[in-house]
Amino acid sequence: MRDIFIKTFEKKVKRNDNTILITADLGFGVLDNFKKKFPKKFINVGICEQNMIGLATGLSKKGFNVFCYSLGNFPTMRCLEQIRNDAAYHNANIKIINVGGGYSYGPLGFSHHATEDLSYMRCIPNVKIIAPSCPEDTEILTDYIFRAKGLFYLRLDKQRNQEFKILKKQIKFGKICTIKKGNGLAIFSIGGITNEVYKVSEFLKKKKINCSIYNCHTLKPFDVKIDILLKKYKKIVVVEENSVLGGLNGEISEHIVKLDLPDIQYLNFGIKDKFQKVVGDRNYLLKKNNLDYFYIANKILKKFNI
Amino acid sequence: MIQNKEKFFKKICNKLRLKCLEIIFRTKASHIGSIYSCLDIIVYIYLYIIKFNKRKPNHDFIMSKGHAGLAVYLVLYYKKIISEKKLSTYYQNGSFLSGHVSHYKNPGIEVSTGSLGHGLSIGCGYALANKINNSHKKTFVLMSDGECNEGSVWESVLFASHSKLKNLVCIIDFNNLQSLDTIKNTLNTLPLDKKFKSFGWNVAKINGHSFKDFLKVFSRKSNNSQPLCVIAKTIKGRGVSFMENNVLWHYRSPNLGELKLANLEISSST
Repeated sequence: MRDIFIKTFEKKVKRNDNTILITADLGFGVLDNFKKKFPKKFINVGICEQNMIGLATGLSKKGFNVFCYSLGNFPTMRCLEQIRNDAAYHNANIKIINVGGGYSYGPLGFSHHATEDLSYMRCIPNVKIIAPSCPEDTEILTDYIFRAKGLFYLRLDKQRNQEFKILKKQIKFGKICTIKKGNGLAIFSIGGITNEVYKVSEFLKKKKINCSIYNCHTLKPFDVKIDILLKKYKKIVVVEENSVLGGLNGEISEHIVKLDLPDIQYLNFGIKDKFQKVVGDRNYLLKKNNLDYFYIANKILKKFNI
Repeated sequence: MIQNKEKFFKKICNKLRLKCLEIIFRTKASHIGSIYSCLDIIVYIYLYIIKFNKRKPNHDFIMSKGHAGLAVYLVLYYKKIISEKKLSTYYQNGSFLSGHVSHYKNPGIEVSTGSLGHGLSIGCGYALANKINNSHKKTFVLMSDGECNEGSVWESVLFASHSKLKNLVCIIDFNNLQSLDTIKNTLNTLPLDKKFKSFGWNVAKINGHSFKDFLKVFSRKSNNSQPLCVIAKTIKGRGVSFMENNVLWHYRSPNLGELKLANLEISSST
């Protein structure tokens, strides 16, 4: 996803436009081409995330379209007050790019596990949050945020395989994207883990269960169509590579409560509210959190008694 | 000529000190000591450096020391950018004039602050933008000395020097007091001038209540590309003898007796 973002971004930038790319000393081997092509648009602020966001706020107030590039928790948690007080409160034109959401950097340890960002970024007004699931939506949504004005958080992860098909024309910012239409049971997911959800649906298909899959790439603003979708199903499942507290699970369960829907059976999968003390690659850590297709599918069968 | 300008300047500062006193007494807001220490600096910047054209300034000012925001509102009131009626809403229910400086619906104010350590970064953004755009605009950022405790300040100090932002001026309201105690007893960041110098900045030390010093320092030409740090030695609570250098007046608002005494002192000072 990172490479698709860079490719799409570089294509959009024009020599005389107002784009600025700021990195907090990350992007080795990745941003070299951009730096070479557009040296005046590239700023490495050093390992100074708080300054990065303050600087970006000042630049955006002077008319620049600012991209802030980093990974893990660094472009968000490290400078969260600057995001809230400077960028968000002033509705700055800043796009915060995180190339290491979830367990993307699993073996590096807990400091590099960006596993709560969807939750805390959700609580800040004016922040629009996107977590693409595949190359197609990464490309379309990168294109969108480049052209749009405002504060965006683009959370990319290291999902490599894609077993589902999706058309670019299906993807629109702020709109839930249907990957598969089924009935009775709907799975809502966000980010690269959507591929695992597709594997869940294939497993369930063998058990003659035809579930729907909804790709919620835009966590905020969340598509109001959710209220219509929720009424169509009796069994709702939510899957995310983020804490079980406050991310997609928070968003969807809030809607369910508000709609006061009777007879809904609900199941959510996410990262447990505890630190991982052991390390491993993304797949290993996802499995430790019961976020692999085999566990999810079997849990669905058991819980929903189907 | 300078003496007349200085006299006029002092008259305005005193007038605004009186207005501030009345507002703080009425609203029971905090920070009168902090406001009095930086008021003269802000008056100078808005009256002698920044010119407004249809409410758009020719240079930018960022009040990083947000808790003294009333000082900015008072100066804009003097310039008739904020009306008497609006000023009277300060700190009240439904007002856009919050206790810490706010830009929302307040022309003449660039940035909302309140959490220390943010303003200089934003100022770097302004200065860098102006440099890229080949603009003649200068960016002035006012910080407090206590604010230099914040690590984020030093990120921007490093950046400004590294990026040769010679169009950036950071003024430090150096009144030597924080909210509980002196700088030295809280977290000793002294000597500030040597610190900024070692980070590559040009540094000037002035009397933060002297019109002549303001005139000299803000008209100086630099012979290098480094940003300028003006360490303005000030007195917390300046203008009222029982408030001066007294940490109590960081939070305390005057009672009726103190109001009368303070009023008398400021009115009779020249």
